Amino acid sequence: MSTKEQKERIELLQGTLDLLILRTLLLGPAHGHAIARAIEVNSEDVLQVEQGSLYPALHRLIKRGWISAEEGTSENNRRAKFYHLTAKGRKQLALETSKWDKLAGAIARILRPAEQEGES
Amino acid sequence: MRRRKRRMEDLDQDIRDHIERETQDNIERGMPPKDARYAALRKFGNVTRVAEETREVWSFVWLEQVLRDVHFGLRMLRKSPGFTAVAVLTLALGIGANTAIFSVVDAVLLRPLPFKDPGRLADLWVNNPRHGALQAFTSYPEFLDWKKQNTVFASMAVYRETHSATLTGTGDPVRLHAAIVSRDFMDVLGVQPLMGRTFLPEEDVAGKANAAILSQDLWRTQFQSDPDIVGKSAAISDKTYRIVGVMPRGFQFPILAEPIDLWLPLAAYDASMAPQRGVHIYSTLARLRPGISFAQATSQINAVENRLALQYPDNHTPGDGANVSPLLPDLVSGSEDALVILFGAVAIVLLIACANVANLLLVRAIGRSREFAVRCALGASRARLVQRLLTESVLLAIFAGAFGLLLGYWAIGALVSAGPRDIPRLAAVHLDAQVFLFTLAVSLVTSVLFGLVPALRTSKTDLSVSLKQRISAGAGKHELRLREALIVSEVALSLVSVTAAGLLLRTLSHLESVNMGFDPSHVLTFATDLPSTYNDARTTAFYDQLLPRLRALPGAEQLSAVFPLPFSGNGITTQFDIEGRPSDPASPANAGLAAAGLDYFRTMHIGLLRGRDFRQADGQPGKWVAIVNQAFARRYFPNEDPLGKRIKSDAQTSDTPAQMSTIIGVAADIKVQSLREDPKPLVFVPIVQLPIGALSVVIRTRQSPGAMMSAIREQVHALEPDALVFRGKTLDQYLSVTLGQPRFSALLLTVFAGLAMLLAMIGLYGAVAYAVSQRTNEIGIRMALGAVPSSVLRLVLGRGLILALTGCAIGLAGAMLLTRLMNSLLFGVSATDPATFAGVVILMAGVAVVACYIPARRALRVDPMVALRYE
Repeated sequence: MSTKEQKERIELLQGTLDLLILRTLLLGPAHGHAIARAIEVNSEDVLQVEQGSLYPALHRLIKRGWISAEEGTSENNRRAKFYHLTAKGRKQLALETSKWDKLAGAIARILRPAEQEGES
Repeated sequence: MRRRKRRMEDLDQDIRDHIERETQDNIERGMPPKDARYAALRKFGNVTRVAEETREVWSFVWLEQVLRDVHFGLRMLRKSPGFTAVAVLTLALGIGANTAIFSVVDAVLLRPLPFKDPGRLADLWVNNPRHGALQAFTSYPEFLDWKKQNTVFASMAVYRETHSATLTGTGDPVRLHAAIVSRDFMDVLGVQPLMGRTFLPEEDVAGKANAAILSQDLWRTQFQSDPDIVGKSAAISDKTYRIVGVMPRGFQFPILAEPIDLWLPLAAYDASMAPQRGVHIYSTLARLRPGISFAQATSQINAVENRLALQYPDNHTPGDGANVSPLLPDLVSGSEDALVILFGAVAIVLLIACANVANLLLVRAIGRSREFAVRCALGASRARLVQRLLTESVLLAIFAGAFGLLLGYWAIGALVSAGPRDIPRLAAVHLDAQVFLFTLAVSLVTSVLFGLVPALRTSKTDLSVSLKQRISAGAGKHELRLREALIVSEVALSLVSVTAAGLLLRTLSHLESVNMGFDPSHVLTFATDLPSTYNDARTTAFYDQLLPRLRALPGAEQLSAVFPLPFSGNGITTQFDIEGRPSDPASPANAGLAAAGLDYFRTMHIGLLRGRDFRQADGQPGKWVAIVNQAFARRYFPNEDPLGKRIKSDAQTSDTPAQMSTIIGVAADIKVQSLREDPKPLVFVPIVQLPIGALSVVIRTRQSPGAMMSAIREQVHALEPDALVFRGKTLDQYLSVTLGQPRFSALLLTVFAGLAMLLAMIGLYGAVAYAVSQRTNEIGIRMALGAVPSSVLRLVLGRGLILALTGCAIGLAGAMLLTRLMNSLLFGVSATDPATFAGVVILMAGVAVVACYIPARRALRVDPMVALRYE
């Protein structure tokens, strides 16, 4: 495990993992491990995905038609499964992102009304 | 399905790939390869659970899980075939027996009669104590009076059955079972014919009434289902009837063991008997008006009856009493008690079966607590565990249900074909789906409750403790007490049913050994039906010719003729005047009457205690004689010598006015109607004094009845080619009909009690065997320390025997209370017969000792070294 202490990490809210996967795949097709790494790295290791839980989420997204999976060859010439965003998934990502922004904004305003004012 | 399988293979590949990459990353971060892999695995989480959760994404998961659980459950059941076989068979017995017996109870006792608004159908009886009859038949004129004065019934009808209707002209003459009815009969029942019509009002008038309604079976067998049958004629008992209708197959009334073939108007068939007020041969059927209760109807009919008694003092006395009762209970009252007792017995079998399976499952759950702990540790959720156990329980119940259904199906077939003929509606029994589902549900609940609850208790316990121990703490006091309580109740319940069976068996042996007063073995009987041109005199002459011819047959040792034949269901009761005594109208002397031929007492082996037998010259005018039985002598001549006394019966046939008869002999008492009856006063007279055409011939012969009957037919037809020979049966056959119900119920109850006992003993055996296996270690230590075998035996045997004896004690108390319910079934033995109770307790205790001893002996073979290493 990485150097950060368990306590400082935040467990993902139900459903947010889906959003993060979609966001990660916006950058281009990736295989499972790469998605997990990307989420960890991009969140500066704050968000710790229990890597296993990625797979049920991936399959859930496939089933909904937001992403699809394809056989491909990875950087070191190994067979791997690449997941990429579908058109439907792109739309969904936009929808979910704006939803998330509204939610995050609302929560932030409630929690820190003064700071919020100051920053904006 | 294949696509999904592909997908899952891909998933496994994906996960492996993922972990490898993570391992690689970790190595690059500087971890040693071994640690890198563990770290990757830890980070990934529970691989199995991830795979499972991913799989769950793909919808069919629920079904798939069930299938997997079924698969697993089957494997578990296969892995312990002993447990599976015992549990399945035990439950199947309970389910099968209950389904079969309840199907019979339902069809015979509970199912409403298939008529319009059957709850309002009533039986109407009038008591006739003067003729020694409660619930006597009625005469047609009396019925018409009731009908005229009736205010409580919407409609009324009378009927009787006869076996003497003969159909000719459709091939060989056939004897039919006919119902002779008044014209309202079908309307009272509210039934519609399959084709044609029911009787018309004018068909109640003699001369215009020659109409016949066929049953569907008769229409099919004798008239080839002729679609144009209505309007055609049929020759029945020397009269021509016009067929006016055919009833549907489902319709039968009166409901008797042998189906009714056709219905004829009494105005036609009973043209000479119906108008006579003294001929009491009809049963009355009525439909209550809406809003009228059975009690109201009874009181109104009593008022009518009292008025009639004043008007016709010959027939009835005011206050004799009449009764109106619901039709169905009256119909089945004879079989009700036996069926209810049997139902109780099978319910006990089901209870014991459930207790046994509960016990098995409890022990099994305890034994499997380690398995549950391992599963929990490997990441199985509690819900999954419950689901899996539930599947196992349901599988058990389904197997048991399937076997039970087969057993029930087979048992119903056996019950219907072996059942006594006199249980009404028995032929209509079919497997009752509701009761099957009910018993299945009971077994299901049992197996779920006792398979699941202990498992849940174990799964709550600390995993590490359960994992370390060979046998978990689940075998705690609570479960032990529950299992012991189950064993005690099993023993108690089985003791109750064994006691009931014991009482019925003793009843049966009393009935079979009852002194009938005659010797029924090797006695062949038959009756003849002579053409209607035979009057009483010609009939008597016919028998005078026939009997010597039969006597000449090889193999006929003795023979005679009689009416009524004992146990044939016929009987005559009459009043007597005794010479020199004023007749007391309040309590007239009455007795059974029989017309007997020469040699009757010798043929039947009825003891003639005093006086002499009939002679050829007896019965001539002025020389009338009678032989009375002991009961008659005791009742009417308690302190006198009956020989030489003169009596006069009020029974008379048309052309023979009654005369004073001199008592010439005293015969031993015989049973005439029932094996259970007390001796009744009975008077025998020579046939010439009471020339009844319906005589039965009795022949004592050692020849086979079949060969003898064909020789007899030859002789009868030589005298009268148109005569019909019927009821060719041995006396033993008549008796076996009487013994049918007690034999049947004793047999069934014995089977069920045996089952109950067997199951209880299996339970006891299992408990002791389990205790021995649990205490192997302890026993080993004791033996290593020098315990003698007998003390070890006492250790393991003791508990089992205490359970058995506790069960016996409770069962004994229960039996004392419950056997009272079967009083009406018993004969010659009281409901709390000490000998039976003692015998049952000794039997149960003995069997219990064996059931405990066999597994206990294994304790003695424990090798101390093996037992100690066991830990």
